[in-house]
This record gives sequence, structure tokens and C-alpha cells, in this order.
Amino acid sequence: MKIFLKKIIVFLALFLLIATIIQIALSVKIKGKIISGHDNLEQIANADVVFLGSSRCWVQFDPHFFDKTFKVTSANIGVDGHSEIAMAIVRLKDYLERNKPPKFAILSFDPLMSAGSEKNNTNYVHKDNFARYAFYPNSKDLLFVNYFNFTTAEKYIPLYSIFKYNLLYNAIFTKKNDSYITYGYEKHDEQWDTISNPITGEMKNCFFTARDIPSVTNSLNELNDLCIKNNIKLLCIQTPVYKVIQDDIVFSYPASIAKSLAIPFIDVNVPSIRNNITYFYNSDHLNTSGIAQIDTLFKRSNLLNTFLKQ
Amino acid sequence: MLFTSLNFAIFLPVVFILYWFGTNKNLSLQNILLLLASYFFYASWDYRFLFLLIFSTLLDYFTSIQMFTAENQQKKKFWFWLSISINLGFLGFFKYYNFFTTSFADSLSLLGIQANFWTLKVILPVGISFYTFHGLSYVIDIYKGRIKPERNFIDYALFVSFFPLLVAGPIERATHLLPQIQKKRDFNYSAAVDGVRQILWGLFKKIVIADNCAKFANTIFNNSNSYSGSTLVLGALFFTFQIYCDFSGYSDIAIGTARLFGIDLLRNFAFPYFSRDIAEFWRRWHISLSTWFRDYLYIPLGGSKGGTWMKIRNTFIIFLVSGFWHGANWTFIVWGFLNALYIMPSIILNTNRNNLYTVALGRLIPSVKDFFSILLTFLLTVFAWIFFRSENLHMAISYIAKIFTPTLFKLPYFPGIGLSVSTFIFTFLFILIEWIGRERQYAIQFIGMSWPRSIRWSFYITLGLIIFYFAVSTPSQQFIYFQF
Repeated sequence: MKIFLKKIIVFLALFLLIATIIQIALSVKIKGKIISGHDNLEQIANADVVFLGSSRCWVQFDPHFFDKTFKVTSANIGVDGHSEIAMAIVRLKDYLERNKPPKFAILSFDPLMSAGSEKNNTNYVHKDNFARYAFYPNSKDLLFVNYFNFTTAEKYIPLYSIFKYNLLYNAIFTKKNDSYITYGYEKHDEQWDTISNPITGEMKNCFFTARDIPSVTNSLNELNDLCIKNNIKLLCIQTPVYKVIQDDIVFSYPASIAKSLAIPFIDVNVPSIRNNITYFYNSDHLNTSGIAQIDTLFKRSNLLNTFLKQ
Repeated sequence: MLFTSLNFAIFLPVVFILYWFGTNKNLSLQNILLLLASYFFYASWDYRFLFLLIFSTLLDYFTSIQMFTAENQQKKKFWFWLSISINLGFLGFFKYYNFFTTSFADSLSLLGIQANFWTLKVILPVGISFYTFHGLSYVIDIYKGRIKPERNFIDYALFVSFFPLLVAGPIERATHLLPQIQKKRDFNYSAAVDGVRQILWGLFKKIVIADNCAKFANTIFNNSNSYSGSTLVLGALFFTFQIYCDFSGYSDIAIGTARLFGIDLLRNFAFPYFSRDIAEFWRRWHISLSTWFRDYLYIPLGGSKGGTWMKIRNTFIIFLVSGFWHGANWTFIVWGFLNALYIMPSIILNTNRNNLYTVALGRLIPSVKDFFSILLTFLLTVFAWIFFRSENLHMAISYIAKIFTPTLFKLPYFPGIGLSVSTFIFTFLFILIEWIGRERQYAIQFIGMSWPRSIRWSFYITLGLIIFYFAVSTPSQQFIYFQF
């Protein structure tokens, strides 16, 4: 009996050891690399400007354009699928753990954003992309690991999170990501395919309402406080949506919230862009043609030019 | 509590430690521990049905003693039929009530009579078909005078409820299991190691092969109208491996687990897909059920003693009943009927005992004749599984009709689910290992026993890592036979 138990224990220990070795080998292999396109936490940018927000930030703020036009270095740290300001705060904190504080932070801020909660997050979109950071997280990784509520098993059993979130293949065969993704910006050249993705006003359901203004204001204030604490100047920009989901009243809320907190605000949600379907690949995301249009507006914006020259 | 769950991975070592370290000096305590563990295991599914299990156990326990001590044949018969009818009554109520009422209403509507019978929304108590058959075999054996009733209630209850076999068999016999329960059990190192190895292989079959094949089989069967004939053939093949690996994997885990407690359970599978004819297939597939039907139905009906017609009649009866045992659906009955048809030639020609030994015994490569016999038997089985897997007869017939269209010659494709190369690779490796190990109780029983320990352990660790990978990355599927 004792021999049996001893052998079982030795076998399990050996199993655990090998799993740990594989886990460590994979972690070393992918360290500093992007394996899914969204897991760019470890990218060191030390930029002057960071862009914060959801996918509307991730696909609409092109760092190349800003670098060239405003003679700055910039990085897009928007998080696809996460329109909570709480996530923007977590992402900025994470960025600050690994980089010098930027001079400026630009938040993509519009009625599609929400307050969210850093401690009680319920949005797990793209959680799988961040599972690579779950095993024995260091203090830097803990921000995201806690935000996505990775379980004890995912944190402490070797290979568990890599296997569970199907990252093994990507970890072994690390692919070279598009340079746009590496810079934290996902380029979309495509036109809106209205057959597979029909034109609807469905996204209106995601707008925050007048009732949510206090919580959104609080969250934005929290982000602003974080920026002030780190000597970062915060600016909010509202980008265009396709006319089908335009609502003048709702789209006036972000400006008034920013104003109440004395945060500069730029609105590029202008009719000349939002009424032209060729600038969009869906109702709330611009394609590269649309981005060229807002970039022209950015170039001409006195506020932005002044802001970035402070 | 699934055998593949984390809960079971905690439950099993705890019971094992308590069994060998806490209660090992006292057989009664060991049996009480196993019984309590079994009831806990069962209650973790649905505690309400635990009362049904205990009632069924008490019923058979008391009626068997009454039967044994009955003063005359009439009283003996009374207790016998009381037990049989209550046991079958429960099974019929929970499993077949809705089937009979809807089928009766359907047949009346054919005559123009509209009948509206109540149907019940009851959950089928997990394992009811299995523990009812345990009880039935015990009662029948006592009635026939083959065994004496067990007076120790704990021992009897453990015979019915022993957790490794409680929810999906193997269907045990009192003559085989009860003596093991009554006898002091000493820890046997080789048996325990063998048990762990069998559990490992069972987990591989279930988690790596069955659950992976299930993804494809489910998608293809659930959307059969959208796929080509060739894809539907693949769907049937995926299900063929799913059901085998699911059920035999469960049996391997059950048998391996029991061995850890010093108990040998009946073998349930013996590499059935390497059978050369259907008779051999049925000697190798779900052996504990096939032999149950042979001993408690086929032989009492006269078996093969009354000439060819009697054999044909009895064969059809047991296959139809076997189909019906699987579930209250015409698809299972047709599946049983098909198997009866398949086996008919060998019954009529008296060749059903031609292939009693493992194919290509002592050789690696089978003869051409054996190869084609295996292939033909396998294809017949795959065809029958289509009925088994389909929701209803209409779906099964449409599925088959869709196979035999010109799209059968198109390349199979899987829109929406992608083609998993790993599923094919692992299934191929699995078939290979099963073939190499086909002369043993389970495929990896002796594989690598002569290898140096480092290589052998590397093999087990690799197997463990593969199981671990699929266990956490693939959604776990319920064991198919739990529904029966």
C-alpha cells in the first residue's frame, strides 16, 4: 500500500513538474510577444500619447498618423470588446506599471461607453487573449488577471489556463502579427457588408442613458484623477457613428460630462462622415476611409494641436 | 458527479484513503463506508432519487428473504411477482410511461379517434435501468434457487449501489459481486496499479476520443439536412467512435476504480469493433447486458433448444427488448431489430459461434478474410448506429436517404466547425493501440510493461497531459449511457 501511494505521489509530482516546465518554457517563449493580437500588455511603448477606450478606440486611432502629424510617439491601448471606463483605468494602470507615464491620454468617449466596475467586472469578452498572463501572475499582470476574475485553478495549476483558453497552438507557433496590431491599432479596410451584417439601429440599445450619467461621470473622474496623479493630461474625443444610430440628445451627454469635469472634449461625430456609409464597416466603426476623414479633422483641430503641444 | 469531473478526482482519493487507512481492519466498516460513499455519489446527481434507490433496495432485500422462507410455492410466487412487478413498474413509469401513452394516442388517431392522454414531465432517475437489473437478477436467482438471500442489509445494499457501477454498470450478478463484498479484502498492489492504468485509459477514451468525436457527431446529426452524403457518413463514423469510447471508457473507469477497492467487476467490452461477425460483436459489446438478457430472457424462453424457428423467435425477442431497454423510442427498437436481422444468417446457418477467439491471435496483421469480415461487420454496425443516434425514425430515414445521393461522392466538409486534425490523429492512434492491445482486458494493460520504467512513465505522463489538455479545453459531455 505504501509503495502504491508513494508511486502515485511520485507520478503526480513528476506530472506536475513536467507541466510546470512546459508552462515555463511556453511563458518564456511568448514573453514580450503578441500571440493573439489583443494581448499586447507587454509591449513597451514609452509613448507621449496613449489612446484609451473600447474597440472604437482600438480600430479608429491610428498611432502612425499621430506620430507623423503631431511629432509625438503614441500607442493605442484600447481594449476591443470593453467599453467600460473601468477597463480603460485598468489598462492605463497596467501601462503605467510597464512604461514611463505618457504626457497625454486620449479617451475615445461617447454614449457607447459605460462606467463598469474594476472589482465586479462581468464583461469577459476576449478573456481568452489574456489567459497567458494568468499563471502565477506578477504584480503587473494581476490587474488584468483580477479584472477578468481568473480562478485559482487558472492561476496556480500549470498549463490550465493555456489549455482552457486554447492558447497552446498560438503559443507554440507564435505568428508574426500585423504591424498595425503590434502598434496597438487594428486596421479595417473593408466596406460594410450589409448583407451579412444588415443596417440596424440595434447598437442604440448599448447607449448609456441619462440615468447613467452620474456613474459614468464618476468613472471618468476616477480616470482623470489617475491621470492627474501621474501628471498626464486627459482629453476626450467622440468619433462618428453611422446615421442610423445617431441620436443628437444622447450624443450631447459626453460633452457635458467632460465639461463638468473640466476635461477638454473634441467631437468629430460630424454629419459629413456619419451620413456616408462608405466610411464605415459597421454602424459604430469606421473603416480606413472614415479614419482618413477624422484624421483630417484632427489635423485641423486647434484644440488638439494646442493640447498636444503643451 | 461525473467520473471526469474535478469533484470525482477529490471524492475518489478521499474514499480510497478512508477505506484502506481508516476502516481496513473491519470489513463491516469498510462496507458501510463504501455504501455511504455510494449514496453520497448518487445523491450528488439528484438527492430525491436516492430515496427511490433505497426503496428499491429495501424491496428486493425483504421480498427475497420472504421468498426464501415462504412455506409454499404459492407464497414464494407471490413475493417473486411482487418484487418483479414493482421493480418493472418503477422502470416502466419513469422510462416508458410517456412512450406508451403517446404511441397509444398516435395509433388511436390513425383510427380517427382523438385521445388526449396525460404525459408526465418526469426526470429519468439516473442509473434506474442498471440498478433495477441488478435487483432483478438477484430476485430471479433466489427464486430459481441459484443463490441464498443475503441477510446483511449493508452487504446487499452495497451490491446494488456500489458507486463505480451504480449509474451505468457493468450490470453485476449477485453470484459474482456479493461474495467479494462478504469477503475480507486485502490491498493488492498489482491490481491497484492495473486499476489506475485502466482508469487512465478510460479517461483517454472518454475525454480525448468520445468528447471530440461528439462535437462533430452532434453538429452533423443536428443539421443533417445541410451536409453532403459523405459528411453524413463521417458523422455516423464519429458517432460510432463516440459511443464506443464513451461507454467503454466509462466501464474502464468503473472497473479500474473498483479494483482500487479490491473488487473485480464484470468485463463490459472486449474490442467489439474488431469483430468478424455480428454474433461476435454482441459477445464483445456491453457484455454484462448481453449476458443478462441471455441468462434471464433468452434461456428462460427456451434458448436455442427448440429448433431453428424457436432460436429465430427468441433472438428477435431479446434484440427488441434490448433495444427497448435503451430507451423509450422507436429508433432503439429499430436498432435492435436491425441487429437481430444482421445476426439471423449466422443463427440459421449455425455459424454464430465461429469466431470465439480474438482475431489474428498472436499476429499483428489479420488475414485478408478477417480484415474484410471486420470491415463488413463494422459498416453494418455504423449503419445501425444511425438509428440509435437519431431523435426519431423520420430523422434516421432522412439521414440515410441523404447519404445515398450523389453528394456521397463529394469531399466531406464542415462549415462552421472546422476540421480538427487532432481528432483524426488521436482516433487513428487510438484504433492502433486498441488493435495492438486487443488480446488483453483493455488496450494498454500490458503495453510497455517490458519497457524501461522511464519510457513507460513517459508514456503515461504524455497520455495524462493529452487527457488534461482535452479535459480543460473541450466542453465535457454527459456519458451517453446515463440517459438509459
